[in-house]
Amino acid sequence: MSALLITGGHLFDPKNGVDQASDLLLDDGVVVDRVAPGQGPKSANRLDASNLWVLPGFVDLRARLKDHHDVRAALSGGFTTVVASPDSELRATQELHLLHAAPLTKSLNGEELGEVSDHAACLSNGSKPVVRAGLMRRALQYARPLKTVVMVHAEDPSLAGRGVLGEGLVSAHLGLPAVPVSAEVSMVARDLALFEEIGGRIHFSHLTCEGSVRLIRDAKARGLAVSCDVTPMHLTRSDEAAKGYSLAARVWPPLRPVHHVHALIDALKDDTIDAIASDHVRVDPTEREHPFDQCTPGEPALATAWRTAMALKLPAMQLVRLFTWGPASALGLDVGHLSNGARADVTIVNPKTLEVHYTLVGGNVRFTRGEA
Amino acid sequence: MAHLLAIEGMPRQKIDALLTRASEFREGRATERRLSGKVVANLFYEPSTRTRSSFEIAAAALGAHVLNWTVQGSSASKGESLIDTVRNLAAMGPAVMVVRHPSSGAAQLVAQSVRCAVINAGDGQHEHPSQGLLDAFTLKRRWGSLEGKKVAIVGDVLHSRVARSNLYCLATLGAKVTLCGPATLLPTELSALGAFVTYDLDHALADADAVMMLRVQRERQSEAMFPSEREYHRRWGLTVDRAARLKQGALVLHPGPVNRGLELAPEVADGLASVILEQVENGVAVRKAILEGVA
Repeated sequence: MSALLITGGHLFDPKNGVDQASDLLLDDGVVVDRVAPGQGPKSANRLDASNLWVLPGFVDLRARLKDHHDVRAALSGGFTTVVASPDSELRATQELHLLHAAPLTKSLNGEELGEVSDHAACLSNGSKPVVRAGLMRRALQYARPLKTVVMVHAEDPSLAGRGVLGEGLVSAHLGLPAVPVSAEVSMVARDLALFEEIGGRIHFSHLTCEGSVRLIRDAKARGLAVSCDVTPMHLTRSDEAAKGYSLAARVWPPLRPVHHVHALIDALKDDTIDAIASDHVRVDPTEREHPFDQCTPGEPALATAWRTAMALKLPAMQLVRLFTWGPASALGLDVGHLSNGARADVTIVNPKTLEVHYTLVGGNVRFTRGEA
Repeated sequence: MAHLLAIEGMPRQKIDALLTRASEFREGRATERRLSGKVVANLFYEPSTRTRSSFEIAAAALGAHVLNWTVQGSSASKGESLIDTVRNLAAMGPAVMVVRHPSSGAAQLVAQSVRCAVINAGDGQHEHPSQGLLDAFTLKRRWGSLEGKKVAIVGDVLHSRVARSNLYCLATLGAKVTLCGPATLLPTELSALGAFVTYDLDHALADADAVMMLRVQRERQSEAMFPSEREYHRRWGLTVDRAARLKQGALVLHPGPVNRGLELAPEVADGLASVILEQVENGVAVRKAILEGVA
C-alpha cells in the first residue's frame, strides 16, 4: 500500500491536544506523522482536504446493526469503529472495525449472567433493564478482573410501565403513557451504589435527564471511574417533538421536557458526558404503521449523528472528542486518536455543510461523499 | 376533508354551530337525510355499546348505510397494521369512518392515511370529542348557557379521554372546570391546560353547578392505583350523603358505563339530579350534527 498524504485540512486530535492546520501522512494502514503544509513526500498519493476538518475516525458505543446497510450508514456518518449492541444481527464486516458488546445476561433475559467472549468490547444488556440489583452486582463483580466495562441501560420497568414519552405537559396533553424521570435516575443511583462497592468500570448509556447527569457529575467529582453517553436525539429534541404524534419522538429511552435537554447540553460542556452514541436502530417501516405507542421505537442515527451534533455549536475540540477519544477511552479502546503509529482511521468533514466527506479505515477510503 | 379528531383547538364558533344543529335534531326541527346513499363505517378496536350504537342510530337516521367493523384485540397482534386496515376499509368507499382505538393519536393516524372523513370516537387516553360535545350540549340544554358555570370532573382523569375533551369543550364555552381524583389518577400537568386541580372531593363539589363522575377504567390500569374500591367510593365516590350536600339544582353526569357503587352510588345514578339518560339521548342528536358536518 502506498503512502497517502491528506493535504490542506485542519487537524483536530483531542487525545493529543492537536488543533492546527496540518497535513497528515498515512502509510501501511497507520498514521506516520503530521506534516507541515506543503512539506510532505512528493511520492505519496494525495487527498485534498482544503477547507475541511481532518479528524480521528469516529467511534460509536452503541448501534444495533442488522446488515450491510447499517455499515454503509456508519461509514457515511464518519464512523470507523462501531460497538454492536448484543441484539445486533450483523456479526462481521471487512468495511470497518466492528466490535461486540457481550450480553450482560443470557439472551438478555435479566435472569442469569451471560457468557463473555475474550473479544467483548463491554458487557451490555441492550435496551433491556437488569431489574434485579443482586444480578447487576454480580455482573460488576465478575467483570472487574476481566477489565471489561459494564454498560448500563438505566430503566426501572415498574416506573417506566407502558410509558412511551417522558412525563410532562406534552405527555399529559397527548394522553400518551408517560415515563417519570425516576425510572432512569433511581437505576443510575442504584448502579452507582453497587459500583462504588464493587469497583471496576461502569458506563451509563443514553442518559436522558437532569437527575442522571447530576449523579454522574457527583460520582466523577468523587473520583469514581464512571462514564456516560447521550444520543444525538436526546440532545436536540424534547418531548415537544411528539406533538401531532410524530414518530420523530418514538425513540427509547423516551424524549423529555426541554429543561432536561438543556441539562444534557450543559453536561456535555462540563465534560460530565464522555461520548455521543448513535443508539442506531433501523426499524422496519411496517413496524411504524401503527399508533405512536404501538410503533417499535428507534431511529437510524449513524449517518446523521455528527451532523445533528454539529448543530449544537460546541467548541470544535469538545465536539470531536465526544465522537472519538471520549467514547474510545470510556471502553479503553486504542482508537479515536491520530498518534503516530495509530491505525489510520480518519474522518474528514466539512465544517460549513456539516457533512462527512471522506471516511478512511486503516488508510483505505471507505466512503466518499457523492459516490454511491 | 373535514374530520372531528379533537376538541382542543376547535374554535368556539364551530362548537356553537354543532350544538345549535344538534338542538334542531333534538327538537325534531331538522329531519333532512343528508347522508342518504352514503356509507358510514364504524371501526372499533375497543368494545363499546353506547358510542357505537349512538353513531349507528344517528347515521341510519340521516339515511346512511352503516358498516360495523369490529376488531378483537390490536391490529398489530394480527399482523395487519392500523394503516393497512383503514386503507382497505377506505377502499370500500365510505364517506365517514368512525374510529375507536386504545392508542392515543390513532384517529389522527387514520385521518392521515385515508381520504374519507374521520370521526374520533375515542383514542386511548387522549380525546373523545363526541362525548365532550354531548356533555356540553346536555348542560347547555338545561342551563341555556355555560358561561361562568362551575363543573367538577371527578375520578380517573389520568386515563380519561372524556375528561380531556370535556375540559377543552367546557372551558371554550365559558365554564370553569375543576378536576378531582386520587393523586395517582390526576396528572397535575393538566392544571396548565386551564383547570383547577384538587384531591379533595368535598372541596371540588362545594360550589359545583354540575358534577361529572368519570368511570374508573379498571381495564386501563395495569396495577391498582388506589388501595380498594371501598376506599375509592368513600373518598372520591358520589355517595348519597355527598349528593345531598350538592348545590340546589346541581346536575350529575356520567359518560357510562357506570360502575355502580364505585364512582357513583346507585341511588344517585338513578336520582333526580342525574342526567345520565339524557346524555345518552342527546348523544344521538349531537352525533347526527357531527356526521352531517363531516360527511
